[in-house]
Formats: sequence, C-alpha cells, structure tokens
Amino acid sequence: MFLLSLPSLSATCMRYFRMFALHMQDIFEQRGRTFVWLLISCIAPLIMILFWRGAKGVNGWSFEEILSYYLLLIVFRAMLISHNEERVAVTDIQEGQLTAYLVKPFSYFWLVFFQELPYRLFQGGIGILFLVLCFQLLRITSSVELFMLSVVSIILSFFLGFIFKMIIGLCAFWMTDSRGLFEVVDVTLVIFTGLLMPLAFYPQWLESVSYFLPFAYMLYFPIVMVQGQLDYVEVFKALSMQLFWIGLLVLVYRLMWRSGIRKYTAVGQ
Amino acid sequence: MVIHVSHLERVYKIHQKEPGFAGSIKSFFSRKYTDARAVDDISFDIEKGELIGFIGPNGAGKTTTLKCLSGLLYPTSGTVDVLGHTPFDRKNEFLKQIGLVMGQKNQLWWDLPAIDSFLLNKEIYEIPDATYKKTLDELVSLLDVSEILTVQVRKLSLGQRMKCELIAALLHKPKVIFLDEPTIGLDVVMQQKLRDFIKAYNKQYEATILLTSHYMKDVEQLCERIIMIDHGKILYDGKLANIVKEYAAKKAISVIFTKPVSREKLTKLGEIVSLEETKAVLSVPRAKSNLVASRLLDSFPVEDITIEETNIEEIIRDVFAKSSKS
Repeated sequence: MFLLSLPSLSATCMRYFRMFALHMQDIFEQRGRTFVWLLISCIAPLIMILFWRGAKGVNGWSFEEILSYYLLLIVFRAMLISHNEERVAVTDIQEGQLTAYLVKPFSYFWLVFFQELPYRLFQGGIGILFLVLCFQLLRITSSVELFMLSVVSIILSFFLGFIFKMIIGLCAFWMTDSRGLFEVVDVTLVIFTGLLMPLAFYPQWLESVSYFLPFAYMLYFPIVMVQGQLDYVEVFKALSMQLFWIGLLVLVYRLMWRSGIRKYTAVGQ
Repeated sequence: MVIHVSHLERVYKIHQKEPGFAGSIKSFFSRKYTDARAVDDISFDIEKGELIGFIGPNGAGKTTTLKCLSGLLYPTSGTVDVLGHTPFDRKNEFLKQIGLVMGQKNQLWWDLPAIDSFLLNKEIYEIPDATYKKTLDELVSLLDVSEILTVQVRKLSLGQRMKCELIAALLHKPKVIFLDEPTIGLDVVMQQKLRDFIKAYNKQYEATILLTSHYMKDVEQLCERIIMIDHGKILYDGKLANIVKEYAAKKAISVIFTKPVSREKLTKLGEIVSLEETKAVLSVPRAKSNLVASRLLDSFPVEDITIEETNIEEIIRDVFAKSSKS
C-alpha cells in the first residue's frame, strides 16, 4: 500500500484529496457535533486556569507557562484527539455497516481516516484562530528548528491518537457492548495525556509511568515542545517514542483487523 | 464461465444458552455450541450474462451463498471461483468487478445527497471522469431519478433510496452483481420499476446478475433460470419453464354442464377431483389436457370449460412443502 511509483503517487494523492474534500462537507452538515466538541475542549482547561491562578513556580513552571499550556491544550485537544472509536465499534461493527465497506476496493482504515481528518483540521483551524487572538498569553519557543520539529510531532500525535482510537473501535469485534471500554479509555486519556495538568506536575513515579505509555505522545509532548520546554535530546527522544508507538500500534491494528474480520464474517452479518 | 461453485459448505457455530440467569452463569463458564449447516454441499456454474433467481424460504441459505460468492464469508469447505478469483481473498481487482446490493442495508451517506455518495464511489473505484459521467447519466435516466439526486438521503422515500443504492452499486459497471432482496418493503409499482430496470441493465451491460427474493413475481419476470434452495441444499436448478413440466405433471380442467352427467362416463376421461350436480373438476396429465377438453366438448353437454393454467407460485410452494416434510 505504501509502495507506489511516482506518477501513480500524484494520481493517488489527488484521489485522496478529493475523498477528503467530499468528507469536508460532513462538518457543515453536522454543525452540532462539530461545535459541541469544540465547547467540550474549552471547558475543563478554562476551569484549570482558574484553579492555578496566582500560583508561582509549580515544579519550575511560572503561571504564564501554565496559562499558555492550558490555552494550547484547548486547541491541541480539538485538533489531535480523534473520536472515531464509537463509529467504528457501534455503527460499523455492531450494527453491521462494515459489510458495505468490506466489498469495496478501498482500505477501511483509510476510509475512516478521511472521514475523521476534516473534523480535526476544521476544529484545529478554529483553534488556531483563537490562539492568534490570545497570542500575547502564549509562550512559544523562539527557535525555528524546535518549532518545526514540534509541527512534525503534532502530525505524528494525530496519527498515533487516530490509530489508538481505531484499535479501541475494533475491540467491538469481541465485545457486545463497548460503552464500558470507552469510559475507561476516556479516564485513561484524561490522566495520561496531560488533560488534567502538565505531566511534569505529577509525582515522579507517575510521571515516569506516563512517559512510558503511548498517551503522553498523543497530546502532552507536542504542547511542551511548542512551548520550548524540551531540549534537543528530549525532543528527539519524544519523536522516537512517537514513531515507536505508531509502529507498534499499526502492528496491533493489523493483527486485530485480520482476526476480527474472520470473526465478523464467521457469524455472517 | 463466470461463477463456479463446487461442493460449497458453510457451517455456523451457534452458541446455546439455557433460559434465565442461571443459564447465563452456566454459559459463562462452559459454552455450548451447536453446528448449523447453512449451506450444505452446493454446486453450480453460472455463465456470463445470466440472470439467475435464488429462491427459498427464510433461512434456506440464499444469503449465505451470496455472501460466500461476494467474499463476505469464507466457506467451511468446497471451492468458490468468481471471475477467476477466490472471493474471500477480497483482492481489489476482484472487488472492482462485483457489486452487492442488500435490501436491508444501505451504503449511502445518510446526511448528504446521493450524488455525494456517488462521487465518493467514483474515487473508491477509480472511475475516470468521462466514464463516470456517461454511466451516471444512463443509470439516472433508466431509473428516472434526476430530480432526487441532490436531496438529502434521509429525506428520500424507501423506493427512491433503493434506486439510489442501485446506482451507487452499479457506477463502476460491475461484471457480476449480487442483489439480495432488492425489492423488499417496496410497493407494487416501485417493485415493477425496479424489475424493469434490472432486466434492462442485464441486457444493456451483459452483466451477470444473481438475485434473491421472497417475491415470486421478481423471479418469474426476470429470471430464465432459477436455483431453489432449502435447508442448505439445492432442490432444483434449471429453467423456470421446465419446473412446471417437472413438478406439475397434471393439469386441472373444470367444467360446468347444462345437466347432471354420469360419474362412470366421466371417469374414463380422467381422475375426478370433485363432482357435484353440474360442476366437475378433473385432473389429467398435462400432455393430454387438450385432448380431454375436446372430448368433453364433443360428448358432454358443456356450458363452460376452463383449463387451469398452472400457477408457478403454487408449484414452488408445493416443492418447498415436500422438502420440509422429507
């Protein structure tokens, strides 16, 4: 799938772009969903800003840095955390819509990807507008190189988060009700992606645990990278952890897809 | 040969649970499975351009067979070959040549007009612009749906949606088409329109079409050849016209006489099904029905005579009834 000759590569890119553009319409058709998620992204961080107000030097972070962290968090969460798991699990696998995709000559993974991408770009776009408005409050790295590297990290985070949510969705092959799992996932994300507070504020052991898990690389690291709080060594360490997790999760996804499809088709939905 | 199926078998494992909470606990620890043989040693071949009807009662194995043919199910044993491919590999070259429409499932985008789903399929199937435009125009005029293409799919009626589903499934001009109950839930007029379309499409594009349906009308009007299955086995595979010869060896003649006639005289002509006063029904071998009718007219005071045309639906019901008894 990834090995393509050059002329067919450009044709393929155009084809993907047109598919993406078609799905862009979803956003406008489903304004409700789009704006609810935008609102949800805002609420918790705003309250956390109130909570930390007046704090001076927490774990070496100034209040300005904390404020900037939460503002960036609002935008990065809207941009990077995908919400495709429910659709994969409920509509496609449990209700059997997947059947229609299985007879199509196109990978299911990428089809869902092109449906999810517009939401993330749109919400991210609005978020970046919002960031421009409160530019004064942001602490962003002054190094062009580090900034470029954080852009790379942002893109990798999006992939990582998307693949993770696809895997959660595929669990529906083996579960009749995935709502419980979704709850667990949400709580896990709140704790380990830095949604609650910067992971650096955690006790040492919890911080180390969270750096070991994939979740920190879906949201936390891009933020602190943009804020210029990591040196080159830490940046490269984070980037390689992202690549490592993407590789591992792709492998897990493939294995789950292969055996899940066997199970799904075995019952003949 | 487009489709070759030999000794196809498909067994489902069905999980059994005893009733109630105790049953749940028990099945949590040890699950009991029984085998259900949905398709049991089926073989048939289909040539290019054939329009074949799969008929059989609920749970006969029609849909299972279609799913094995379209790659949605892997067979328990036996071989399936469609257009030179093994369907369950689900290779892109194979999937690009088939189309599947299931009356009870939809593939159209719910919140957008059908035309957007068509555009997405254009990309998925990599249909060139010119071909896309031409095929779409043809299908739209065949189905007469030009006005509803830009209406949100959720606002369409069931019949309109079915037409759009068909277009979505046919845009890439599949060589083999599987239609699973395409007319389910539609009114009589719409059913007829879809039938006309399927027939026209089959002629125009020389596509091989396999169709399952509960409605005998669908099959009677569309298919020359039918495959009847029940309990996973083929009961009959052949021309629809021949089934009448094979299964309805006799014809019924009802006569109304001007005055009562004697039973003995009548018995010589055929088996008497009923005789009361001036009304009689005779059962005679198919081939002799005309002869018997003319003898009746010659030697009896006949007021009215009808040779009952054999009703295919009845014959088929008979065949299935016999198969479920045996």
